Amino acid sequence: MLKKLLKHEWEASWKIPTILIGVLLVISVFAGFTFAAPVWESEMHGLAFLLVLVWMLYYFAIIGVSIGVVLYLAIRFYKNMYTDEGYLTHTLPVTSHQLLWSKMIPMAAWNVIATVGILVSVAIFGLMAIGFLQPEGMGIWETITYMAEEMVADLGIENMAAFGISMLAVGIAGVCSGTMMTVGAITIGQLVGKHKILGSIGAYFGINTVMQFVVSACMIPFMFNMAYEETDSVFGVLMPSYFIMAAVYIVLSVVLYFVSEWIIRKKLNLD
Amino acid sequence: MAWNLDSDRPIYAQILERIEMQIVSGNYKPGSKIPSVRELAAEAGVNPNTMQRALAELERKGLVTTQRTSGRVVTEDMEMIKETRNSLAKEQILDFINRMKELGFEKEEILTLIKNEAGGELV
Amino acid sequence: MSELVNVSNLTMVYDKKKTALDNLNLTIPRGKIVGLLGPNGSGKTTLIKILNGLLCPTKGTALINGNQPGPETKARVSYLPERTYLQTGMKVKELIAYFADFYEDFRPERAREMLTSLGIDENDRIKTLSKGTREKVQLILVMSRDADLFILDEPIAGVDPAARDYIIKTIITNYNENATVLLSTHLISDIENILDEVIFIKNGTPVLQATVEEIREQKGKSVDAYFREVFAC
Repeated sequence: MLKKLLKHEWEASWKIPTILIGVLLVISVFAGFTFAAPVWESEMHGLAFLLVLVWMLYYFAIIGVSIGVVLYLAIRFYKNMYTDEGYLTHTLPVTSHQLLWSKMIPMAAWNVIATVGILVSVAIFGLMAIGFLQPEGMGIWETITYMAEEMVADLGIENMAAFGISMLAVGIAGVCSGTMMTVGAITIGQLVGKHKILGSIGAYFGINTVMQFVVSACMIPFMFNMAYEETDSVFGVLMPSYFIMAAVYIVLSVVLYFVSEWIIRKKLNLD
Repeated sequence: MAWNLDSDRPIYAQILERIEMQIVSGNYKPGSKIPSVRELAAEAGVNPNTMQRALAELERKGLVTTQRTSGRVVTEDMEMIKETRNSLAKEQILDFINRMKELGFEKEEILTLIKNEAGGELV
Repeated sequence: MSELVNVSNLTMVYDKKKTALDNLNLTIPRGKIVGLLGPNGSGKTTLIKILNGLLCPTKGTALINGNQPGPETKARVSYLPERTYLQTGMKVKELIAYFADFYEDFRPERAREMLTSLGIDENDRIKTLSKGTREKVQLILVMSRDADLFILDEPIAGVDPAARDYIIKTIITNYNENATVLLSTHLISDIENILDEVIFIKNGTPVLQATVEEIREQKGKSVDAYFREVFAC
């Protein structure tokens, strides 16, 4: 049944996020072309102004996609589960676990796809910039490796593998907790009698605060460590704290999952 | 369109009368097939179980027979149809007489009235 | 076989103060069309929601085929709520595919037949249909299942007489002898001829459960008239 739920959920929800990401990619190419003509060197201030406008459009497009995809899926979840559409959703012969997973898996997937989309877009923008500006005497590839080395040196990353793994852990935990917070907040909001949407928004900020608090509490020892010990490498000290952060995210996500499932099974009350 | 049924008498009895009437009046011809319970119930706008009961009663009376191939069929026994017709007529007459009595007519008066009315109509 | 629906000591209290069902006990047999009748706020919809697993009772149990409301019962219960629950972005044929995918007892050919008879195009999107047509699509989807129990919440409220006749006809022709139809309504006179039994419910407790013919024979009046007597203010 989960397979069927997923199939229908995917079919019904893939279009809008795809369009959003597609539009972003188009805009990034468009924005990249601004580097083709160095208008900032010209005398015409109007052109420079236009250039800034295009960059701003690009910036807002990135923000728009990252928020838009999440918001679209969140609203879909709310409508499917807790408005009139819920009368069908909750009378399908499926369990509340299956319902939750059928909503969370596409949400998480779209989170990842949107992130990848944004990274690709930034890469397009960056490569076009390098390509058009061409620093003296260097090819595109040389420029990129040079910049990467500079960055690694600046940040003081000693162990590239450990850094990669810790970032991956934080990333996965972030996707899980991001999805679970959306689902959990909307679901917890249903407990607030008449003002369910307001309740959901309140729950979201509530959960967020708790999460931030727990994460900061776990970080404190590392902060002290960093302050007292003589070290050049910020990353060397912070690395373990990333894993702890990831663990906190995961634990809170699991708690939220069980709370949400319980609410759907026991406390559902459609208007 | 749904059949017009009185709201204060049992539905079953009314359906029964209704179908008997259809048979006696020749609307359902002897030997012809009767619509299925479901079709009849939908046509009448009544509960299929009630319709089923009414048809079972008709079967018990012999006005309707069940054949393996063609479902329910109106009896071809003309004698039985005639009998039913007579008994329905008798019911109507008794009903009529009762109401006339309520109006205060005596037997003789009723007969005269009928003769006068029906006579005029029949001639 | 046991009774289809078995409700015992069912109590539903909203927000710790509003009692919608008060220690309700009743059974509903198989193969009957049963009217759940009561004034507004008597607990009809609450009972229906519990049977469909949309509400969790405060106390007591509601069993369908001996099971608590859950995936097994939902597979055997076909429910028409008062609300239109169709996703407006979907096409009629997509909804047919959706129902066919989730409900094993769904009969797509029956749904298509009914849609054709009403002149509804399968390629239409729900959002382009009128409210009345949406309700008909929903009724068709619900009645195209071979369920054990059909639960219809106010199926004829707010529809025109022609649609009402169509709905009544659809209920009669689509339900099979082993299925039970439980329908709630406050428009009793329109529907009483198709009922086997009625349950009168008042303030969350049943006050009467009888067959329509019993009421007519014993009281000499229609269910509608008798209802007015029982619930006279």
